[in-house]
Amino acid sequence: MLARSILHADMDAFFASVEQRDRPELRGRPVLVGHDGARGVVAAASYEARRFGCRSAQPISVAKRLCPEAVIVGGDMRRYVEASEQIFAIYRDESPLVEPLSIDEAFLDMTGMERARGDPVTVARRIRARVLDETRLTASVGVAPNKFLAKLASDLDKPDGLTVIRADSVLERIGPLPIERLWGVGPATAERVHAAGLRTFADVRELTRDDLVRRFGAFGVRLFHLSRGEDDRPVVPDGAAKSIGQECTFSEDLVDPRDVLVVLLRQADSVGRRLRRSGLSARTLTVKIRYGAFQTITRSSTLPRPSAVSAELRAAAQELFQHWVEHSFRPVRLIGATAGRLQDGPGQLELFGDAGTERERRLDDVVDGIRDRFGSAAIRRGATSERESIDFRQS
Amino acid sequence: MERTQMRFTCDRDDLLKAVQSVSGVVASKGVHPVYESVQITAENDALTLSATDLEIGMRVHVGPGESLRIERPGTAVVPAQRLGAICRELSKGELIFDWDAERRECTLQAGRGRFQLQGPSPEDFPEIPDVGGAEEVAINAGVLRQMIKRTAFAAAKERMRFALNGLLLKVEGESLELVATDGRRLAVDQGACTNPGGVSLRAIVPTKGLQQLDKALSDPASSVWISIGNNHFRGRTERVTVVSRLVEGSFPGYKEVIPANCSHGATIPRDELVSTLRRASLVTSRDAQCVRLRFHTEGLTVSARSAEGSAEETLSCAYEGEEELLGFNPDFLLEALAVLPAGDIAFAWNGKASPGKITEGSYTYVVMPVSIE
Repeated sequence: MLARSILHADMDAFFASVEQRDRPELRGRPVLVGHDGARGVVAAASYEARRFGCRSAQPISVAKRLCPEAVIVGGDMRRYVEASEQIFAIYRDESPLVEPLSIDEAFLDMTGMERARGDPVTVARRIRARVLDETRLTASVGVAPNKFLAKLASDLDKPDGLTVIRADSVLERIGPLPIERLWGVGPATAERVHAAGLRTFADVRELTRDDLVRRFGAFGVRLFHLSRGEDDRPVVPDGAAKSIGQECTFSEDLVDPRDVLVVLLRQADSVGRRLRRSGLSARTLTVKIRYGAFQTITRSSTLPRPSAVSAELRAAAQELFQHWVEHSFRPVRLIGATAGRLQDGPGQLELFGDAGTERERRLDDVVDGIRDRFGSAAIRRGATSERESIDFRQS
Repeated sequence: MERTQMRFTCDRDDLLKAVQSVSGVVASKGVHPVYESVQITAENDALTLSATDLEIGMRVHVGPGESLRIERPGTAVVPAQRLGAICRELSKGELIFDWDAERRECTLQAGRGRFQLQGPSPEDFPEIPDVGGAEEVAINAGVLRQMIKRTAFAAAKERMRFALNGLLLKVEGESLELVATDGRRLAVDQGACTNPGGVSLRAIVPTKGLQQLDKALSDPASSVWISIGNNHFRGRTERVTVVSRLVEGSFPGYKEVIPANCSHGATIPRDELVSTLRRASLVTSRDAQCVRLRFHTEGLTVSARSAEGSAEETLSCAYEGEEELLGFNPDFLLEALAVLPAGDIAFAWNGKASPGKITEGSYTYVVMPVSIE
């Protein structure tokens, strides 16, 4: 198998660091992010607070007892998401294969990218520098031949660290590490492993695979491989968004399908605009309809080709809806349009430029431009004429 | 009612081959039993088997020959699938075919086997349309078969692209041209024909019609006579006739999309490119069918990446110029390479978002790229 280069990038005390960045008076002080109440839990603890034994997922009451002088802040998800988006934009710029693990943590596959991007350690240095430069936050990065080792590495020199585990030094690097470093090993499991007289990865390596399976069952197989630093799970990008959709619930059931269609077409319009803004194309369009006593149906169609053209999404939505109206219309409570099976860019290009599609694409550009400058209400397709032009044959 | 009884004897293999040949155009189940049947006419010391799926009709002649003896002429209509299956199972050698029109029953005997088959009412069997008295052009069967093989795969398979759901057949002077496209790639091939009437033809023929004709052309040295008339295409040899309704609609202006005067060109060994592309396409996913071709002075590097894995391979190729990176659907390249002979292929293009072109003799294949960021 091809030798892989995997990076694990992890922000240092992410929420707490964002707070310290934005509120200078918090710098150098123990900060806990979380709701200060009876059932509040620590979402993040700054490194100053960690020195007192504060940890994330701890009850706030416990953390306060450990560190009475800690500043407790409620947290502002909006700013965290904003920072996260900046960070992931950097990750995605550096590698086409980014697997997000959480809001501030990701795997990047840099295998075979040396020519395009430089060797993985250079990339790791660059990522850390770019993150600091663009967000004024620090990230710790691990570089290793697989996901398990990369994640282990990023944690070895936290905060603000860069750790490289090379393929030829895996065993000596991980041998002395305590078994608790194993991903997914909680206190209960650690207890069982300790009970068998095993404390470090090197200890586990002394045992044969059969021994480990006899003692620990299926977990023994994992132990066997991970203690040797073996892990062949691929980096699986989630493609940012799997679908882009919009839906609308009416305060009362709409009895005229034409009224519903006007809303649906506007939704298709706005889904198209969001696709274009993200540089994506959709392969499918799904219409969701809720009616009667909360019965919900969805109807999907595959577009003739991947598209972000409003007119094409509208046509697909209208066709699906019209078909439903003609066969089994009921007063509608909710309507929605979702674009699915998204891909970057237009994908396969067409041989014969279609003048109609070209015109629609230019129209989208103009409308998007106006909406960007003056807001989405500034321009809209003629809804009235639209409503009148629809001729439903209800059965 | 002398025609109510029909009887002939022939070699089992001759009848089996003829039934199999026309079975390709029998309508799918459920339309009407008569459209799932083959009509067999015995007269003038020859048999004619006919079938149609209402879009394409086919006639195959058997005999005259030593093994065929028509004892009582007549016309029978028999379920095609059953007849084929029974013929296949009967022992080789002489076969006796009887038809009782009143009971609509056919009896087959060969060796010790004896089968009876019930047929639909023969009066309902549809007439196979014809082209009228249209002028014909003649082309060598081997040449036509190769042209069909090199183009038909590029025709649209999806129903929605209706006008592209067939091949453009063009005759000008002594040249016959076939063009197929699905809007993403295009295949054109030309062959010499004899055109005694000096006709010019231009029509869209359903892919299936040409494929049926292709299958029925067993002797590459024989001649095929082609004509268009009465909104139908007809291709015939001495033994077989295929008639197909034409596809209505206009064929796209294909000549404008064939790149001329390409700024970039490479010469690539076909066999190596095929195996490299096959390997690379193993890691492409359904939603990201794209391989990257990087042309540089040391050769051609083919790479692919997806959530499932990645692949990269460099093969030798003659290329001069700036480094160029292009993305293609690997299937679109492989399908074209599959119909080309071993040896070097000429690949040319004009820049990133423009099509790639493969040429080989009279053959041209144009394929649009996949956009890569």
